[in-house]
Amino acid sequence: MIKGISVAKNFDTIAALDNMDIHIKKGSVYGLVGPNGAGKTTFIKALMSIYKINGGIIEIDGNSRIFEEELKQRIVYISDDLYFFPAYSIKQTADFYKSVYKNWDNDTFLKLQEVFNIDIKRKVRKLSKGMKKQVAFMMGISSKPDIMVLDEPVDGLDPVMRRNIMSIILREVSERGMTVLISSHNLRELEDICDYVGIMHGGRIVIEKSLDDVKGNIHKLQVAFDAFSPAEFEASFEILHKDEFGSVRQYIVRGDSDAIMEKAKEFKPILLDLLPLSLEEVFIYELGGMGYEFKNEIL
Amino acid sequence: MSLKMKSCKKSIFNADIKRFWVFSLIYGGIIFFGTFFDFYLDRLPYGNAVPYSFTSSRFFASSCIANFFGICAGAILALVLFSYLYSTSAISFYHGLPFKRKSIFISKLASGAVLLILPVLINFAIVALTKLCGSDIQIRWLSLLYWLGNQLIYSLLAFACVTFAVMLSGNILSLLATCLLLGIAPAVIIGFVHMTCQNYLLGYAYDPTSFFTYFYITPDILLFKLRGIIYVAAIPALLIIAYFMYKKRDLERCGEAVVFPKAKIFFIYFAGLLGGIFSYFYFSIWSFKSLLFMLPFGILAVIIANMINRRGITLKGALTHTVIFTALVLFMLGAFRSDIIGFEKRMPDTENIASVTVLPDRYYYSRTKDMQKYEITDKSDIEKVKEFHGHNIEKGENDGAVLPSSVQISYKLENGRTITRAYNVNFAEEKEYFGAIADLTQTKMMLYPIYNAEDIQIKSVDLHNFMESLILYPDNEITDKLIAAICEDIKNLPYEENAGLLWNSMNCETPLYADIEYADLKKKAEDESKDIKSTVSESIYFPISFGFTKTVELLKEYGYYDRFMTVKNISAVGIDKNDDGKGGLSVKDYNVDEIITDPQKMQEILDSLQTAYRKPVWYRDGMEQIYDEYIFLDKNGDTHCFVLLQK
Repeated sequence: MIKGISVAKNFDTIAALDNMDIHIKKGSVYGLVGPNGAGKTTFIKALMSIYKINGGIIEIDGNSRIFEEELKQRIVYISDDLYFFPAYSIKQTADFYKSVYKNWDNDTFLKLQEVFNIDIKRKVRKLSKGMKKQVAFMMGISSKPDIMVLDEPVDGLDPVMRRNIMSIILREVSERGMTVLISSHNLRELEDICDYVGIMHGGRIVIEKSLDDVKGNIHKLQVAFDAFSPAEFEASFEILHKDEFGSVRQYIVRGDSDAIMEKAKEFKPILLDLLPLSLEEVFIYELGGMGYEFKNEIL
Repeated sequence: MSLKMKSCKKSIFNADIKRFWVFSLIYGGIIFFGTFFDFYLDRLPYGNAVPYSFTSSRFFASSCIANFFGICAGAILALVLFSYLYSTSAISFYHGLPFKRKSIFISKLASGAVLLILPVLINFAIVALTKLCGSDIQIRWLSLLYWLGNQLIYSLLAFACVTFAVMLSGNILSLLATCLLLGIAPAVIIGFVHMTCQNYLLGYAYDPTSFFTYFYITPDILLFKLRGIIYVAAIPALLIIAYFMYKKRDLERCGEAVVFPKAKIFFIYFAGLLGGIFSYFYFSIWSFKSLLFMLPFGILAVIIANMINRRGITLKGALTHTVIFTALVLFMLGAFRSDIIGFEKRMPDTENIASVTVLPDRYYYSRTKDMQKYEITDKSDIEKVKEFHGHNIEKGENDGAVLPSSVQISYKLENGRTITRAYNVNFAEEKEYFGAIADLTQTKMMLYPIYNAEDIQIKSVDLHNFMESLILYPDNEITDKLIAAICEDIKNLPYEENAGLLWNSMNCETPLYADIEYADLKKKAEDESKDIKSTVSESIYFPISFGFTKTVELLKEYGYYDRFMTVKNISAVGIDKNDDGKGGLSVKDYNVDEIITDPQKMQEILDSLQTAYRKPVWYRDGMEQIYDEYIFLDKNGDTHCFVLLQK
């Protein structure tokens, strides 16, 4: 549904997006993850035609004129840095969104009001950060968009509210086929909701796969040996990271799980476990292999 | 386009109206209470008792204040409507909505226009309805319409200017700086150009009284006057430019001083220019008039502008810009000093000249009158002017010596263009070249407007000296003869007396003066409703100096001379040689060197003061002015002084 081909965006001499390719399927929940400064927000703003790109194409349903009002009618963007009209109440804000988005559903808005339990007569500026986020979601979901773009959506929300919002989003996806693009550092939350993951680094997507494929291609291998050189063992695998805990060695390896197990058994370890990684661990170790790694430094 | 799609633009418009209607209400209230309310209050105690001219002046003053508030309102409204461009969150909000930039911009313009125009129209409607209902509120319809036009123009112009500045700048501080710089820049640059041309270009003519150029805000902008037309045209022009800037603007540059990278360079040199001009003005106060004095504050401004661009205290890049700026100043200096465009020596060919006007500085006020009668059209006379012009070019800058007068030469060419030059002169030393021009009818008409005048009517002739005065009216048989004698004398006056009048030399003063009041019949013809008595009068005041021989003869013939030039009421004349007050004698409070009491001798002194030839002298700086002072003591004990300059 959303496609980016060789997207480039420069800020003076800095290439924020460096020939980035991205493919977001219709009806999917796509998690865009990456380290700080990878270009996630830059891409999102380029998608929303807030930023003008310096090269490449971004298409929505094959239409590269993403700045057209008719196309943007189908997209709602909830930024991490929210803005509302000062002195407007929630009700007034809703009236504004209603006048903007032709698919606005007032029933949904009223239902969400009950879910979030906020008095809509209150002035938005007097709400807490988390409550403002809730209001933003109320507006976004009530607008019934085909595409929802979320930048750090759950930042500032309590765990219960996070669950609420995520379940609401998933329901919209399943009922209406809404496409969701989420950019977040909270990989644990993303793991529960995303179908696809795109890992960004240095202004480009370095890994773009379904969540299962991402997690299925990298594993934690725990082994212990009584005798022989680990070098032979280590040379047999594509190791991204290793740790030693006494005689137990922990390797983060890339590859098919069955193949890894078969290979490992050849070395007759006294301990052999193959454990799945969380998305967070995948993120850490994949990017570690690209030079963005955790350093266990003591200052 | 569906109805809902149209609503998208309406959304922003309605949101702005809802948010800022209070501002509009306050603005309307200020206009009403500041401009019109006291006229309503006036009706109660005074009715029609207040003179119309007074209320017109009062309304004019109130209108000025209203114009000022209109400008403030326009500027503030533009800022609040477009200030979202200074906030990343607001930018994401607005541009995340399903609107194109064009829609956002036009919606904002529409809401701004409504918020500004509506209060003005409501005020206008209130006053208009009041008048239509038969009220005697003392505001004329024309004044009201002018007020409406001015108020709308100024408020919308301010709105357009600030909108333009917002599109150029990335934060509030740079917006304020941009508005200030753009606001003062025209006046500053115009003043700088004039000042530099005056300092460097011989013959550059600048009218120092045309301060109107520096007043952008004048309450009497009429829609059909050039400035009004320019202001009206500037409103859409600025908004269109602002729109294209908005389209091109990189929204990620929010927070930077200048959002367009290519404009950053321009910003640096523009700041340098204004800083340099300020530096030039500043040092000129201390008589340092070289363009090199642009450099101190100009370079400082370049460095600061570079820092603002780079958003930090840094000298990185400053050296290059400083060198370029210095080179530009040196080039400008070289261009002026070498007169690269040949300004100083330019003189039109006689066959291309339709007419020329020669205007001494004392008569600059004449330029507001009908100049046609002073135009010299005869080719041989034009040659005389050109000779004088050429002489001044040859003379050059007089080595910086200060001269007492200046003269402006304006050529009107056959193709309609005008070439004007001005030179400092000492008329006392210009007889060789200016003598022929001083003898021209046009020059004499300028010095003495009654000379050769066809469309004037004498209203009175006031002859007076320190002892007597006499007013002669047209019905007196001597009046016409007196005017004729005066004109005859003017025709034959020697150069020295004309030259003296040109700079109001004291040595041309004589005891007897004439103050002739006359009506310009041409002006009366333009306003048929006025009779001659109510027509605005003009007058000329001049000494009956020693060349007015026929005039003196006529006055003697009719016995009037004796009324003025008699010592019968004088008891003594004291003479203070060199006006040093060191004489051993005294006449009342004056120390004098000599006291004359003999009536015959006193009469001789008085006659000589009136008739003896005295060459007008201009004392240069440093030359001591030497006076003889004559103190006439009359029989009432009052003293009357007459000062005579000596060389």
